[in-house]
Parts: sequence; C-alpha cells; structure tokens
Amino acid sequence: MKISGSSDGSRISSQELDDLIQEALRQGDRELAIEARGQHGIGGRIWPAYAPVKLRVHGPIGQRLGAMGMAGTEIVAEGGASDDVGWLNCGASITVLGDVTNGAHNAGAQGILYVQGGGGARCDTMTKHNPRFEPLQSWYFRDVGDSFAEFKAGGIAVVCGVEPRRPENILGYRPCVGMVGGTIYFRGAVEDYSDKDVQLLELNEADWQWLVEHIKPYLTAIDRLAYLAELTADSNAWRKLVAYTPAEKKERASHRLTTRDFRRQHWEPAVGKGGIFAEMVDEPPFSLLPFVTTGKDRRLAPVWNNEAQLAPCVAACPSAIPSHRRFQLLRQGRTQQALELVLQYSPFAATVCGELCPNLCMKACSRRTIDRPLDIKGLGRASRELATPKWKAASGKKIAVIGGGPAGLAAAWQLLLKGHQVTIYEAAPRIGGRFWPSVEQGKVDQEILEADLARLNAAPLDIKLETPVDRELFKQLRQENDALIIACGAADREGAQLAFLPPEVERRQGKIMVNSQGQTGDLAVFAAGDAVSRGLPTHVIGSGRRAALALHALLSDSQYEPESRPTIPYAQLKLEYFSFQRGELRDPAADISGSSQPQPTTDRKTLDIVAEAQRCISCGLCRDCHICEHTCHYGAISRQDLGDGDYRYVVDESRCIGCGFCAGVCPCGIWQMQPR
Amino acid sequence: MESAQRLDHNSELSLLEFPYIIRWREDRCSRCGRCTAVCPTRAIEASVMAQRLVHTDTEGGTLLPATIRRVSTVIRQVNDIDHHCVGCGTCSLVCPNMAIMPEYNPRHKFLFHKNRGGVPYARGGRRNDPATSTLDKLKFTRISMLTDPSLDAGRHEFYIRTLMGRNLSAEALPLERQGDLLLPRPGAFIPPVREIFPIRIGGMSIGALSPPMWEGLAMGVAYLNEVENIPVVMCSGEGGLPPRLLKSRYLKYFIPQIASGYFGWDEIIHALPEMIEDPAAIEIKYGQGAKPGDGGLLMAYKVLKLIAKIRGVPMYVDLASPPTHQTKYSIEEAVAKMIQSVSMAWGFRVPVYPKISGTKTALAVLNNLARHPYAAALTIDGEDGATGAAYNVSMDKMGHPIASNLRDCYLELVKSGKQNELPLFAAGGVGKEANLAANAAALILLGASGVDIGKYIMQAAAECYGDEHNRCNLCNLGRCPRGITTQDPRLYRRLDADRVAQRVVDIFKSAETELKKIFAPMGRSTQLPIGMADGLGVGDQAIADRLQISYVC
Repeated sequence: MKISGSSDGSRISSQELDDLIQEALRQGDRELAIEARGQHGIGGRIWPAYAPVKLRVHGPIGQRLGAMGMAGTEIVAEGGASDDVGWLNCGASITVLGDVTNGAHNAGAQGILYVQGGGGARCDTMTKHNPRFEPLQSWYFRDVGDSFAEFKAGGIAVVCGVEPRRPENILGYRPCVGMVGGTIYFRGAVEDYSDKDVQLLELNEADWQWLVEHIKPYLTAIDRLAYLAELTADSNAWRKLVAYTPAEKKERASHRLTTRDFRRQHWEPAVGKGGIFAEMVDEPPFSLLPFVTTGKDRRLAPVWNNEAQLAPCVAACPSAIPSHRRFQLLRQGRTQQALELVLQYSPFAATVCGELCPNLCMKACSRRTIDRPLDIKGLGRASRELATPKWKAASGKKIAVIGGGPAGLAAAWQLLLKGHQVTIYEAAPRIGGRFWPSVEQGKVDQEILEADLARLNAAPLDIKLETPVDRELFKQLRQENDALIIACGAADREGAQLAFLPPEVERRQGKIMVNSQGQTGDLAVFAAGDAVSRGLPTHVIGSGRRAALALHALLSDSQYEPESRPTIPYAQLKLEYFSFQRGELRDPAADISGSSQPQPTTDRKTLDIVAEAQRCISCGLCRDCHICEHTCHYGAISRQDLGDGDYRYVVDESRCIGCGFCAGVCPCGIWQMQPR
Repeated sequence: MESAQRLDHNSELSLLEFPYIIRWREDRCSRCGRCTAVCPTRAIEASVMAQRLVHTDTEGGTLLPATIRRVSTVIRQVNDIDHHCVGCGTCSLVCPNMAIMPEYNPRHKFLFHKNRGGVPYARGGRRNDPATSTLDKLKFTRISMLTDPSLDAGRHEFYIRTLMGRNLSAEALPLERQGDLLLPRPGAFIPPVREIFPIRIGGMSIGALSPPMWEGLAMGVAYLNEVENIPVVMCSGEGGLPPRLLKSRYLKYFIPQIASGYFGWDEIIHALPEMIEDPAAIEIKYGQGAKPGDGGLLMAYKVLKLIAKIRGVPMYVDLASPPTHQTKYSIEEAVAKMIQSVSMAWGFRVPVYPKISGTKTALAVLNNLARHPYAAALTIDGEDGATGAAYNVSMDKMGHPIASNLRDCYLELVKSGKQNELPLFAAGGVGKEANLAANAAALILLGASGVDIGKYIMQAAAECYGDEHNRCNLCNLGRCPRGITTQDPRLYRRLDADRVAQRVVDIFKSAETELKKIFAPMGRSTQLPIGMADGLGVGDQAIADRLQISYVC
C-alpha cells in the first residue's frame, strides 16, 4: 500500500501521516510505501508489537526516522535521512541508502541501523544494551562526525572507513567521551579518542568472526556487496575501541606517576640530589620522623635533679641544717647518722634547734601547707646526747677565735671538723656567751646547754678563759696564727668593745665590715656573729660556720662557694601523696593556719622520729620511692645502686619519649623537663 | 621565700577562661605519655590526683566503713595563660585510646588575659572569623537551560587559563605588517604575558614555611605543570629562593617576591647569570592580607642555618620586614622605581606587579598602575588573607574585605576600558570554608583574572589545624605541630614533602574540575568569564547593591 505525505499537493502534518500509517497497519497491511514530505518520526512505534512490517520511505525524510522502532519493523529509506535516525530504537531494522546526519541511533537500545554513507555528529551516543535483547548494531560505510559514541553504554558500532571524508580521522573529534560499554569496530585512522574512557585494541578471533558473519547482510542491504572482499580481506585493517571496566579505570588511576617518583625521576635530577634545600640543612631531606620520638629527637628530656634545689626547711634555716636529709636517713634506718648529721652544721642542736630557736625551718616546711610541719624542734631535742664526732687529721694550721659565744664556738667547731688547731680567747670565765642569759631567763634548761657545751669542752680545743683581747694581744695573735676569727659579740654604736682591732679591720657604727665570705679588710681576719650583724642564735651559728668555711677555703687554697641553689617552689611538689584526710590530723591544736610558735608535737621520750620521718615530703631530695620507675610507660627509668646506700635514677634515652610523666608524678620535685 | 601559707587559687584563671578545654577520659587512658610528649604548648602535663572513698562492707548487717585513699596519675590541663591549650588536637591524634581531646569553649575570655607583661597577643594564622564570608554567600545563578546551549564539564573541552601580564589590545600592540607577518616594530616594547591557571599559590616564604612544606608545594607545582598540564604558578614569599631552584628549569613556575626586607635578593641577583629560565613573574609586596599595614617578622629562633643562607643574614637575629619600603614615599615613586628596576633585572621579559593589602586606597594605586607601561597586574590581598605572624589586633581588626575592593577596582578599569588589559588578582579568604573553586569563580565573575591561596593550601595540603576559632595558630612560634611553619627539624620532619606535593596535585586537579562544573552551565569553556557578574546572585540586598550584582531569593 502506498501512503503519501501530501494531500492535494500540500504537506500533511506528521501526526496525520502517522494516523494514516497506523490505520493501514490496523487494516492488516504489512508492506507500506511512504512518500514522505519531511514528516517527523516516520516508521516509529509500529503496533501491533513485533509484527513483521516493511516500510519503504521515499522523498525528503524528517527527523527521527524509525524513532522508538519496534522489533519486526523494517524500514528502508531510499535516500539520505536527517537527524536522529533510530532515536531510542527498540528493535527496528533501519536501512538508509544515503547519509545520516547528526544523532543517528542516539539513545538506541536494540535493532539495527545500516547506513550506506556516513554519519553526522553525535551518532551512536547514549546507546544501551539491555541484556534481555540482542545488542544494538549501527553500521556506517564511510565515516562518522564529531563526538561519536559519547556516553555509549552498550551495542556495537561498525565504521567501515570506505572513502572517508577525513582519512586521517574517521571517527571525528573526541569520540567515546564517557563511553562505558559496547564496542566500536572501525577500519582506518583515529585521533584523540577519550583514552581515559576507552582503549584501542586489535580484533580477536571472536571479533573477526562476528564481523565477517554480520557484514554480508549489511553490504547486501546497502547494495555494496562488491566491497565484501575488500572489507574482509585483512582483520589487521580493523581495530576496536572498548570501554575500560571500572576495575580497569581504578587500576589505571593507580598507575599515575607518584609525586615520590616525580621527585626521583624529574625533580632531583634537575635541582640536585636531596632537593632544593639539601645543601643548606643538616638533617637528611625527605626523612620522616614520627610525632612521638626518642633520643635526640625529643623536644624535652627529663633530668634527675636530685638536690639541685633547696628544701624550704634548709633554705629557711640560717644554720643551713638539712633537716630533710636527716629525715631521709631516719627512713633509711640510719638513725644515728641522722641525728649526728646536725653536728656538721651546729654544735647546739639541743639548745638551739630544740629550745631557743623559733624554728624557721618548721615555718617554711612544705608539710605545713597540708597539715602541720615536721617536728624539727623535736628532732633537735632528740639530738641532745650525741657523742663528739671524730676529728680530722691535723692540718697544721693555727687559728685563733676571739670570743667563746655561739658564733665563736660554731666557727671553732667547724674549724675543728676540718682538722685545724683552734684556740678560743674568751673574756668571761666560761664559754657559752649569750646562751647563759637565756638559761637565767628560763628559756632553756641548764642541763641542755651544758650537754651541748660538754661536747665542746671534750673537743681538742684550746680555750683561754678570762682572756680579753687588747691591741697588743691581737697583734700577737695575728702573728702567731694563720688566721683569726673575731666573734666577740655585739658592740655599742661607738664600737668601744672593738677598739682592740687594727684600722684595716674596718668598723662602722659598732659593726665589723665584712665581705660576703665574712672576710674583713685584713684578708686573714674573719668576723662573725653579732659583731657583724645581730640575729637569732641560729643566725650567729650560721654566720660562724660560713666564716669558718671561708677561712678553711682560704687556708686550703680552695674556693668557698656560698649556697646559691634556688628553693624548690611548693608547686613543684606533689602534695597529693601526703595530703591529710579527715581523721588523720591527730593534733587539732597544730592546725594548718599555724600562726603560733612551732612547738614539738611530742616530748623527747615519746617522739617517734622514724614515723615523723615518713611524713617528710623530702623536698628536692629523692625519696627513692620508685614512683617514677613504675610510672614510666616505656621502662626508660631505672635505679642505679652506687653502694653505701647511694643511688641515682637514670634514663634510657633510647626509650624515653620526653612525656614528662616522671616529673609529673615525682612527689619531691626531683625530675624536671628540660628543652633540648 | 614563698609563703608556706600558699594562697593557691588567688588570681588564678579558671579553665573556663581558656579557649580550649581538654576533655580527658581517665577510664580510657593508658598513661603512655604520648599526648604530653607532643603538646606544642605544654598545656597538658602529667600530675597526680588524690581521691578518698569510703567503702562500707555490710557483712551480716553490720556496717563496716573503711576509708580508701588513692593517688593516681592523671593528665591535667595547666591554667597558665602562657601555656594555654590552642586546641590543635595533636594529643588526640597520637592517643592510642581516644582518651583525650580539646574542646572549643565558646564562652572563653582569653583575650582579657592574654597580654601578660604588657605584650599584646601575637599569633600566627589569619583573621579569625567564623561568620560566612561574602564570597561564600555568592551563588552562581545564571544556569543555561533551554535559553542557550549549556556546556557539559565532563564532555566538552575546557581551557581554564588566565593571563598574567599587561595584555594590550590589538590596536595598541606596537606591531607592523611585513608581508604576511605581523612583527613588533623595531625597538617597541611588548609587555610580557604568561598564560597560567587562575588559582596561584600566594607568597609564603622559606622561613615562614618549613623546608618540606615549601619544597612540597614547589614539587606539586612542577608536577601540575609537567605531568597534569595545569600551569599553576607559586609565589616565593619574601625569603628568597634556594640557588638550586633559581638555576633549575623549574624557575619558570615561580614568582619571586621582593618586599621591604629585601631578604635573599642579593642571592637572586647573583644567580641571574646562571638562570636557564625566567621566572613566571615578580611580585613586589607592599602589604599582605593577614596583617595589613604591619610588616613581617621572622623571630630569631626560626633563623637557623638554612634561613640565614637563603636570606643572606647572620643566624639567630630577628628579621624585620618593615611595613613600608624605606626608599619610597609615594605611589608614583613606588611604581616608577620598583617596577622599573625589577623589570630591568630580567631585561623586561618578566611581568612585574605589586601586591597590596585590601584597602580603601586601592583605587589610587590602580590608577597609577594603569598609567605605567611596565605594570603587569595588581594583586589585592583582602582581610581574610594569607598566613602570618602578627599581633592579633592587626589580624582581626585591620584590613578590607576582598569582594568589594576587587569589584571597585574592576569597575574602575571598565570605566577606562582597561579591564582586559591590566589583570587583577584577588586574595583573602579564598577557600576559607574549603570552597576553593567556588570562591575563585566568584572573584573571577566579579572581575579578577585570578586568585591567590595561602591558608587553604596549608589546610588542604598539609593538614594544618588552623580554623576560624583560633585553633592552633602557633605559626609564629616555630612550634607548628604539623611541621608546616617551623624550622625545628624535630617538627618539620613530621611533614612528608612528597605527600604535600601529592595533595597539591589533588587540590588543583579537583579545583580545575570544579571550575569547569561552575563555568560549564554558564556556557564558558575557552575564556574565563572575568567580570561576568550577571552570573552571580546573592540573597543579601546590601551586598547585591554594593557589588552591583543581582539580588536573589
């Protein structure tokens, strides 16, 4: 049956022509010859479904010939067709005996398109392959235009490359962008296909078999069977483009040149080994460190600063008695040593520490910030019956001490400890000086003072009582002795009591002028005690001791180093270990506000000094508690035994990460973190 | 001597005053010390805690209370203002048990206290401002639908390039016809122009940055040019360049910066005869967005061997770049002297342009440059810009936002018809909220030929912790926990230069794709839509009016 696209010489609408075609099909016609006049969508959506219907279309054909064509429909266009031939083809076989313009088989899913000529732009784009059906086929005899097979997801396209318009590139500009499936067989040259989407391959056996098998019906349909021999002569003349699988794409992405390889292969050869800074840095370039480092790569390193800082009790004591060290010895069970240690600092532990002294040590005691200070006064009282120490071998140096009061006796005591020969010149009939008025005032029991003095009397001291020193005697003493210490007590403002001194021993307002070492204008003459500056007994004892030590340094050609260590701040201690808790404060009278004068908490007989020693925080002096050793996560800290009860804690640098946990947990503030 | 009666909490700050509070979970902590080992400010430390518990046995109905006392190791945040937690979170990074984490404290009163010793708060980083920036409020509202053919970023070929250099109009070019050829007239000057990717890496010096950071950026730039074909250029910042780079073929991707400290310039001039490539351009820094009106200062403890060598200075001295160039007192003088001298150094073959801080006076500078034949471009660095070490007040309170500053300058060029001649580069908060391509595109539509990035690249390429809540910002102290802004090898060796380079490549590749995704719907593929402000809209009438773009809602 013939159907015309014209009526009375004028063109009918696409809708009218479609109505005519559908009506003819309903009437049972299965072979239609259509005289087209540019109508749209001819031969598409032919129902009843899958019925074998043949359409021959002649004349000018509009867009979308065979659009949404169904299986069973066969369309032959007797000339070229315009855009979108076979758009969304669902199974029709379409033969175009001429060229197709843009968009042929766009979004096609099934069916066949045979093109006798070439294709325009964007042919075979968005094609699909539904597994329920055979794949779509698109055949182009010459070549195709730009943007071929964009986003192709399935189906087979064949471009025979016969007499192409551009022999150097038969698939047009940038084919296969976004192509994810299907195959393109082609014969000829291609340029700039989207190589991130597709790969160019040789045909394999199955490809060639399929091509040879299917090309004959194609050539027959387009009336070009004469080319069969030429087109099937050589499989090597053909190649194919297929999409990379997602796995292949991923694999390809991973083959990207790494920046590390770029550096090694390009950067360093151009700028020099080790990069642009290599010649200017000490560290090896491109060498990584972890965040947490050990050894020399730590930013902070712990230091076991044992006794590098003064305990507050020591810093507060003008006699510099290391009470915390005495408590340490007590904790170590070295009770006798603990008690005797005081004699290295003062011969008047019982009289002064135990009785007369306001115990500045206890006022400063760190423990007082928690509950009550350590009973250092009690410790003084417990020191009453100490034996005279063993003296050093004689040095052969002779020293005269003018004055047998606390300062002179303290100085003489220190000099004796150093092995010097000491003579004391005392104007009064007994030694002890200003202690005696305290006895008379009832501030200290006579037996206590006498016990301390007995130790002095038993010492190898030459004590010349009732021997006031005048100018003449002074001159003589100066000549007979290697050095002198003046400790003659306080003088009035006019300094009449100091008249015996030569002019080089300078005085001002009744006080002897000394340098920081207790030295007067005559370098071999030292002065101490109230004659220099008035103070508590502990002050004058300290002053006597310092002058004696400086004098000893002078005589032994060594350097006297006055105490210069800083006092440990309370914040550096970890008082939490010691903090009192409800019910633990045994003596409510000794409350923590502690404004009253320190009192011994117990009498001498009942004082459990060992238990008291446990209360001592041991500020700045390692308590040997092993907390640091236990705390260190890396086992970097260990205790080294040095014999004789001595020890130290050491750090294994190769394990330590510089975290500061040792410093953070140390009760005594020994560990400190130092920047490296 | 300290009073034994310790008044422990008098004048102490509570942790609520601090900007970051450490959340530590005792139940998870293994006391391994990794957190305290890495804390850059020593804001956390190990300590001990005493606890008292009354444990009562109830056997046989008899109540038997017992007091249990326990002292255990804890992690404590210190309440010393000079050791404040900066919220960097390195502690949580290294914690094996997820036991520790700093938490931002929005009610902090940090600035009330951070001036101990009469020293105002100084820091690194840039302006802290959690508010959405103008750039991030701009939307691309011109989407080609059926009205005109839109482009497909994935399908169409794009050419995301811009021109850096004086781009004379065809009529103004001093060319003459010789047969079929157009050739420069003898003796005529044709300004040098470079075709580059419109996002540049802004000036961050060797010194401000650590060796692996700077080299990582540099390698990434070289890779982008040579492997990815994305012609990204990078400014050196004011700290010279290593001779190895100056003499290499890669120099063409770099913009050496000259600033008021003139650091490293004698070495650059010494290297001139040995250069096998010209640099991409030369930037003359007059100001920077991070601290407008303030100079640069590299603290002595960052001036180690490397920096001393590159900058040509002794070690361990403070290196000041004054806020002004000493030998210049006017715009005219600055333009005439500096641009000319520096152009001359490379035989007028290299574009030379100034960079200024965003400022109300930008137009005056611009007008002067427009008249100067050697002026290749103008870079304006807005208030959110860059990185720096400066007083907080300079960073937070000084400066001009980039959007209107750039727009004013562009419209001024339009008035004189020079908008395609003198390119404007904009910086300052580009990528502040990680929208790198969107911010760059917005500035391009407002009239920029390109943009610079600084902080963004540190955050994206090297995991810089910095954020708008003053997180970390330790750049000035040389204690950068990431190793980005430090000269301490123990810290900078944490940073993997290869990885930085990789991230730079990733960042620019993805930015290029995003730019395509923005420009495609506008139908622009081969030319940047510079000044195409009809593509922009904003849901704020005042911004719309000020920028002369459409108000949308």
